[in-house]
Amino acid sequence: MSIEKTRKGFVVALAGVPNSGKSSIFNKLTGGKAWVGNWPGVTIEKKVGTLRLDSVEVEVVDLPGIYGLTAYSLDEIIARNFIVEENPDLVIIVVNATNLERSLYLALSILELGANAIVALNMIDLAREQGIEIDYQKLSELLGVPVVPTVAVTGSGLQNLKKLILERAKGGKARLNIVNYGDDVENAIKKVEELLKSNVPELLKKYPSRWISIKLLEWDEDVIRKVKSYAGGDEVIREVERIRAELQNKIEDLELYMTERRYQKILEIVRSIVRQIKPKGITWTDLLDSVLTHRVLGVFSAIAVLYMLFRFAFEISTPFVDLFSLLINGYLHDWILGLKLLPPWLASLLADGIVNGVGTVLSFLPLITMFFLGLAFLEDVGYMTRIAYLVDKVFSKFGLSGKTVIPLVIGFGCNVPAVMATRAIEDENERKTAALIAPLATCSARLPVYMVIAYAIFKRAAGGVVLSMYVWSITLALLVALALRKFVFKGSSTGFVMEMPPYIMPRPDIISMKMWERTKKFLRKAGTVILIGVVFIWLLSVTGPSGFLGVNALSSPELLEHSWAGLLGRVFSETVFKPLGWDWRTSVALIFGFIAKEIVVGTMAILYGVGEKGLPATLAKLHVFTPVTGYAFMLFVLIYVPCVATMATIRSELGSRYMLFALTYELILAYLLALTVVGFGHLIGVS
Amino acid sequence: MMPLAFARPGSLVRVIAIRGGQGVHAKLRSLGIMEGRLLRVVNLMYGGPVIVEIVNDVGPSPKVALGFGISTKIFVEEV
Ligand SMILES: Nc1nc2c(ncn2[C@@H]2O[C@H](COP(=O)(O)OP(=O)(O)OP(=O)(O)O)[C@@H](O)[C@H]2O)c(=O)[nH]1
Ligand SMILES: [Mg+2]
Repeated sequence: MSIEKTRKGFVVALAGVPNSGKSSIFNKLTGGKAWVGNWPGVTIEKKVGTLRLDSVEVEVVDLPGIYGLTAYSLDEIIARNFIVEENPDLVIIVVNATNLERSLYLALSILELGANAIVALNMIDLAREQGIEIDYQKLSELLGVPVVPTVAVTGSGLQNLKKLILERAKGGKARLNIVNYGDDVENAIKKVEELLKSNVPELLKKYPSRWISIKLLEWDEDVIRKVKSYAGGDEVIREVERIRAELQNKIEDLELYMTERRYQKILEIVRSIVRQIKPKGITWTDLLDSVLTHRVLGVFSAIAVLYMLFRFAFEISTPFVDLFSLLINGYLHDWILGLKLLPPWLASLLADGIVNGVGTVLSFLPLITMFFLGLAFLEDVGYMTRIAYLVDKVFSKFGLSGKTVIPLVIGFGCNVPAVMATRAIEDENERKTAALIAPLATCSARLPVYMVIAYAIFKRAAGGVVLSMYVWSITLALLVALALRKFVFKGSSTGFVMEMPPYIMPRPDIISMKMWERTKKFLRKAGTVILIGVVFIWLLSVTGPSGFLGVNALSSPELLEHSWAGLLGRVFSETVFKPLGWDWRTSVALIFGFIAKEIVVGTMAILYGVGEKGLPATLAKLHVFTPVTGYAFMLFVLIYVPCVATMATIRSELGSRYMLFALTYELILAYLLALTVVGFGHLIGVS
Repeated sequence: MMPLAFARPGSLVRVIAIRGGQGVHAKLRSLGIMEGRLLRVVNLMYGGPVIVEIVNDVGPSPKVALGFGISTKIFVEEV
């Protein structure tokens, strides 16, 4: 028993096909909060956590999913490189029991690499529901590595998994020759192994010679490059070329042949470990898909599903938003102003600045959490891939594959993960296009702005008007994509290939975790960026070139016009925004909304003041907007600039040039569109 | 022999040949779609993507959606 010092960190990687439950296992092992969801490609970056087992500190690494050791998309490259190049001390191969064939294909590739590995046979609960039971001990014998059955979401089997990790921490080797490629190829492999030993012995310190030989015979570009980087490598490649040519006299398509040998082995394994315990029947997934992916019914159901989720979020939250608004902007605000012991400037800062500014944003919390609930449900039930399938035909006309819709839907929550999610798109041109249109997905931060304006002007039609912003959002994203694909990121797409996992009933614990994680980010933003933003705006409003204007500035329009905020706003409202009919207060709101779009609402709340009926009522009373200038304003906020966090993400994913590009095109597009709406309004005389 | 893109929804087909670059081949193979395999055409949008399920005697794998571009490169025969 030693509590003194832990051993040097020991690295365990989680590898497996997409959607096999790697992140779920990671969360259970490390207590982490890796994002999970029921579609392939949720994890797009490696994530590290620690697990303490007795006196051993284990570094657990969650990886993106891969189908094989040849990588196509950025996320796959991250996973592949980690497994192949970084030599983790132990690889936990997560095998999806409902996707045995593909899981084992990857498992064999990893075992061939000679990694110290164990297998977590996950999702055995779902496999049982589908009527199959798996003999995991037999699987362990056949693969030559330990196998533990697990159900990641309930944590069942994870104790055994931990025990195994500890055991294998001492080391362990995989069997390298599970697949026999037949005499001809096996002889060729031996020949290449000899070649490697005599020509590039250094290389063999890192990788098993059998693996390199197999990859060379399959003409794997990456491995060829690797071999060539060593002195004597060119010689090897020339010789391999000769050996391949010789083999091809007997075996026409060598790659196909070797893949087939692997699958034969896999089928042999699967046959001997799977027992059908229930007759195959029609599954829920088949039943649902016959409607939800039907070429006509599917589209209607998608519209119905999304519309219902939208109504659900609105109907449930509206009374709470009103209540929050009354409590915060009414009672709390007045109570602070009434406190006799506070100096007037402090009371004003607290009440007119912070409570009005941050509070108005926070009053939309119920709507935003309900929206996050809907999003989590969509993600976990398995519908995302169906949406991707349904839109693929239309999206392909715009030079995108259906997969691009996934980042866009995620973007409705927040644009930052949306930009990241584009990593799962294989085609380079398509991926860049997707990352640049992702900021057009109307994120939850813009929702409060729409709500305030829509309720101020459109009253009963507000719901429809807000919904129209989503239609604009997708339409504009597609049109910009079309332009980008035509002029900037040219080239035909590599096409759409995507697994469609079975539907699962989302688990309340996972849904609420995801809802809470997103809500927490919103709250944290309210407590930091938005708070600082509104305090700054309050300062700009009570001071001016003539010094401190007094706290009355906020209630006296004449004084306020002479504040810094007034001056700044008028620079814009009397120039570029003049044709759009927005006053100086609105202009100030837009300027600071660049930091985070919620600040638009916060700024308006400070500059116009909020009564207990809420900001929309105030805006309506003051006739700040006409229907035309208001709608133009909503559109402008939808488009005009990505928030600072999104810009930073675009920069780290694509570089500064593209970040500036995104910023510029969005500003121009926003302005032109707002101008068009106002112009059109004048034309038909609605202003 | 016809491209998968023009198969009949609900039909059972065998893959005869796959055209296209190495990348497409390797990606499809790692999903188990390759010459000789039996596929069930689950759903199909004319001029759009198709959903297939790999048929073998050893239990289910998740279905796979393939875009029009790729499904015109996979040649199949109805069985
Ligand atoms: N019923 C059941 N569901 C599971 C199990 N493990 C994971 N899930 C669910 O399966 C889905 C995929 O899980 P993830 O952990 O995101 O899978 P992943 O392997 O990390 O996926 P990628 O990051 O896309 O490669 C989620 O909806 C999980 O809640 C399990 O053992 N049983
Ligand atoms: Mg994951």
